[in-house]
Amino acid sequence: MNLEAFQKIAASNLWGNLLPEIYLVALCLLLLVFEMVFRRQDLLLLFRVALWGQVLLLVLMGLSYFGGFPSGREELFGGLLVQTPLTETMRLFFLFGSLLVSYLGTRFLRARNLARTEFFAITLLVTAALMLLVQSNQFVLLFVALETVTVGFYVLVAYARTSGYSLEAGLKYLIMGALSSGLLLFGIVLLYGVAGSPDLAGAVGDPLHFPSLAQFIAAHPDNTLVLAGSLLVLSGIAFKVGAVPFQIWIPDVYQGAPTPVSAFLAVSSKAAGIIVLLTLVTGPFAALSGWTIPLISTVAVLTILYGNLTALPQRNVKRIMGLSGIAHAGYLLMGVVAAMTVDWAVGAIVFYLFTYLLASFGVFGVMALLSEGQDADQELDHYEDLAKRQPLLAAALTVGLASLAGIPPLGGFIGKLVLFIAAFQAGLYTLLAFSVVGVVLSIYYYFGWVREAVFRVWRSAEGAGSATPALPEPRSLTGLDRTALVGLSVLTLILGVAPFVLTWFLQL
Amino acid sequence: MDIFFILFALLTVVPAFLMVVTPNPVAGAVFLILSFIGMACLFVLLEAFFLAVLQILVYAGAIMVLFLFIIMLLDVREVEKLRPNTVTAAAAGVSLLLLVLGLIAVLAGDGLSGQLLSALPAVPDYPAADEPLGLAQKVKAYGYGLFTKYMLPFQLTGILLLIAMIGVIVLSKKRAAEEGAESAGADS
Amino acid sequence: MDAFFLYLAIFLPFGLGILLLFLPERTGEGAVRALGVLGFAVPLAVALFLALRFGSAPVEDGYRFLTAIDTGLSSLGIELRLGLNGISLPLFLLAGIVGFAAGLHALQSNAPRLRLYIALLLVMQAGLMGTFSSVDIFFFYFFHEFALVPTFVMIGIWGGFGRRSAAIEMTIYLTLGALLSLLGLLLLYVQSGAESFSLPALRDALAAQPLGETVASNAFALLLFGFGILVSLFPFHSWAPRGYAAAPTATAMLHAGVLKKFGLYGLIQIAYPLLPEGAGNWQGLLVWLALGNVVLLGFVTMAQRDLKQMIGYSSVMHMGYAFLGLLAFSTVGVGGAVLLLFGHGLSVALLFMLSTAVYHRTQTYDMQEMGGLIGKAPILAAFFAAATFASVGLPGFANFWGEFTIFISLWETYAWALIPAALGIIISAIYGLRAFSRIFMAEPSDALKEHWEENQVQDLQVRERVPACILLAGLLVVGFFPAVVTGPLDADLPGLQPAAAEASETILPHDATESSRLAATAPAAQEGSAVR
Repeated sequence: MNLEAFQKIAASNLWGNLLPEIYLVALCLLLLVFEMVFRRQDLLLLFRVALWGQVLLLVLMGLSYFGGFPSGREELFGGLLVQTPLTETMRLFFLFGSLLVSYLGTRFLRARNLARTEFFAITLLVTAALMLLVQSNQFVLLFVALETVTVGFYVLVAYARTSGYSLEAGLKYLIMGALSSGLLLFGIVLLYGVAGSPDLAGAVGDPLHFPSLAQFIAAHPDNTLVLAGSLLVLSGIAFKVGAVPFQIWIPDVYQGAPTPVSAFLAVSSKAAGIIVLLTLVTGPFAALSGWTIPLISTVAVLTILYGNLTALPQRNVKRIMGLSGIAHAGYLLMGVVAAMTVDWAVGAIVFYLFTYLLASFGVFGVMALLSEGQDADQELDHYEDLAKRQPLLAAALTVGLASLAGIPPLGGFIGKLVLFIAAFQAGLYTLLAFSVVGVVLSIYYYFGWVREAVFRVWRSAEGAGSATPALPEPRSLTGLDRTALVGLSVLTLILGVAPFVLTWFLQL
Repeated sequence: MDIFFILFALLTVVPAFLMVVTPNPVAGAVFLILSFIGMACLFVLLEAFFLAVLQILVYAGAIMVLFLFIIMLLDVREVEKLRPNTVTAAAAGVSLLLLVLGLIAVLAGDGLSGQLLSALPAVPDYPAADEPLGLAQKVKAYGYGLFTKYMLPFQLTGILLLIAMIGVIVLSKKRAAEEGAESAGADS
Repeated sequence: MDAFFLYLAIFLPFGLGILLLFLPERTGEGAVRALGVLGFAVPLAVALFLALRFGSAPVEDGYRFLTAIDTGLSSLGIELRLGLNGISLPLFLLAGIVGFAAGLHALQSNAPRLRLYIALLLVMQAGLMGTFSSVDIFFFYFFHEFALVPTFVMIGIWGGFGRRSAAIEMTIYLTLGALLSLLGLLLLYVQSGAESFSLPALRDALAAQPLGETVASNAFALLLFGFGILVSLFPFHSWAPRGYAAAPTATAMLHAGVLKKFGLYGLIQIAYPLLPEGAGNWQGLLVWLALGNVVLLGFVTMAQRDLKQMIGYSSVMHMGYAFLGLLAFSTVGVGGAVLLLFGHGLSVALLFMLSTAVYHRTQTYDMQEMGGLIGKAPILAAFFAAATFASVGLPGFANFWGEFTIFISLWETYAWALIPAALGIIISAIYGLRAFSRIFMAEPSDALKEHWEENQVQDLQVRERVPACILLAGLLVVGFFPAVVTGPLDADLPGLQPAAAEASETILPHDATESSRLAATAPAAQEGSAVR
């Protein structure tokens, strides 16, 4: 490689295209400086800075679209990074997710004696890394971004360090995460070794660059090292998605982690995994579709069944959310398989992700507001007669759960519908059959939860106390709580009855 | 060659395993150094001399020795709470000022479009692609690659380290009990 | 302009329902009632108005009042297309009538948290009006779910004994049915290549290029069992009686009376016309399942002691006749099925409403504990008798024409099935009359006598009589002038069913001459007392 090549690459380092990520990192540094300057960790101030900083970014990004939403595909940074409409949408997705995590974090932290600034700081950094992750077009950047995300989550999961559950979850996530990173890295190295080897015809200059790798794999689809490498890479990603057989960490980690972090894991981390998987199987591994399609289909079926069946007998709500999240990952995997043959399925996946985001944060939001004292021990019984005590929370919970279950007229239904249509067009009938079984199973536990919360209980007059100690009554809801919950519910409903707000935008 | 590979591979893996199982932190650190040395040897086998040197210098040398010092010499509990005083605050302020000035200089120049790096002066003695490289040239090539092509992952690694630092603080710093009391309603 | 009324019938109740939810707490009950009445009356008015205009409206793609709005999924071929044809008009009308009656009943029911109750009923009403006026099969499904979801909530909150488990059983069954039918609809959409969910577009695409035998058969099976679960077809019926027994009255009226008809409506409007080649494979099985509904569940109905359970089972049983009507898929059979859906919807709603009236006067649903009510509430007894006779299928009521024409169509296809089907009529007469005699004629139990001594028992109040009269009037009008329903049906059925061209098209009764010939004197006397 000579100097001109370096200069050319340097010329493609257009940092201006990474302004949202840079902004987030700067915001994080600003928060850290704030802590230093003001000494006392004033939660209100920190939260306002984090919240309005992110809202400002959202507005700025929105303003930048007046010139037209990005279209077409642009490679930057010497091919390390690629920007497409999809990555731009996912940026917004992650920013939205991060906003909601910051909000939930405030609610979580205000009742606990824990470090504060750092929560927002890490959330912002992880979000920036997530944005880079979905834009990466080369394994080095992909790996570094993924590690940044993962390391951030190690800290966040163990954040409530006074709680044994949280520490246990942190340790489990650390070990599992390290294992998956190892698998991923080993796979990358195998691919690098075989695709860069001058002994094979068609060796490419930068074997880590996705399009170059795609060329090589198309020329050698049956090479053993290619198979082993791509299988390991997919396994590493499957950990992040929580697909069977790499799902075992999920229930414990979701239960132990602070509720805002569970939501962050469930939504943003999973979404990033799905998008990366999508990029890989339609990009460098496209030539391997002979075995990736059956493999991912099988995994999707097992994931759907595992998630739904194990969620059925659960009483702990955080575990329910974790396990049902596995099932949602299964539906999304079905979308990924469909996207390998049907182009517009990508839009369906993104739509599904947005509905999942809104509904999940609605449910997690209610959980966070209800659990000011104890976090990991929320049982279904605690939700008994919630509608009487907190009608707004019960309503938001119902909307969120119904959307997750895919009940019209909520966004979740349209999400499942477009995903199913895509799967139909791709001819995935077996997968569809299992998805339907999964959806019916999921009705049981989602509906059971709603039943506890909303439906009146017959109680004899004297035995009024329930067996399980009720959670302490939440503090009265603030204006922000109401705005957030009502906003999420209304958006879920809007996506259900007027999907064009998003479909137009996704060009679905 | 194979015999060396097996030898060095064992030297990498066995101490790594022992490091995990040993209960003694000092022994653990020593095992980790051994493992790093084994890895450096593997780099030598691959003729990646520069990496081997870095591995020894940075990991086995600087970082691990620091670890050992911390483990053996410092009882963390007895360290007085470091309070930022006027001098450190002033130093931080000056650094911040310099940073901001630097950023302004960059922005006032070519903006963030990356043109600055591409305007590097040509290096006349830079070898052609097929020539074998000496160590010095390898370092230079490494540097060029790091600061052009891999600039973005390099910067991202900085973020990763920042997260790790914050994480260590979060998970280990003791919080004064009274700080929990001022959490009065964070509403807006 | 007429299309505007379709939107009005859907979005006005929906809007009022949402408005009720967000009204401030201190809103007076009068305002809530006024809004409720408005929300239920407008769909009925629209339905009646459009029924009157139906004959003169221009036909486009087999539909009248056709209109469309883009919702952002048009690239998938989904648009909000509304319109009515001869099959949907009777059901649209039915939804309007039963909705109004159920709404009036709910408004005077003194249910706790009345506002929420009315709001949910209004949302359900909006969904019902939408379901039967949708030309786009996506929205056809969508509106059905729209109406279904409030049902679960209402059962869960206002239901009676056992509602928590009944609600969950019902939810799971109905979701399964809905998803199966959704899969079937999606399969149709994808395989037809029409790139559209619009029913006329699908019909044209499938006519131009029929599906293969296997695909058509699979798609039909998905639709048959999906819709079948929703209509409580024989082995999938267990949700219905339990659900209805647990449901609050207005919900049971709307669900059993109208919403359940969705499945059969879907089969008539979509599955059979679009997949005639797939239907053939399943007729042999369907006849047995339908007879299972009629005979087996008939016997089960006879064994019921709980009044509400009995009505629930009887509604399941009568759905079997509607399925039998589909077997031939001739104009006669389908016309009969639609007539039966109409008549049964009214009669079962009336029965559910009256059973609650009975409960208020006896404090029990157990028929063994009742008796002697005719002395205390003769008008209630008259209404109940009329509803029972209608449900049994005596001439003079709409149900009669439905069952009669279904039997005629059976004669042409599965003649042997007439024998068990006729047995079903006898069974339903037995349990219907036995229930009447137990409730009204038998010696009252001691507990009941005690209750009556302590409490003043009144006859059916005016506020209860109004909805009952509306329902009964619908039954009688169609009973004596079936042309109200059969006229539009006759116009549209041959067009929908090219394969059944050989079937005679004019057997559907058109005026009251036949009806008066066939009507026995007894029911006429009964009607007299009922209207009095």
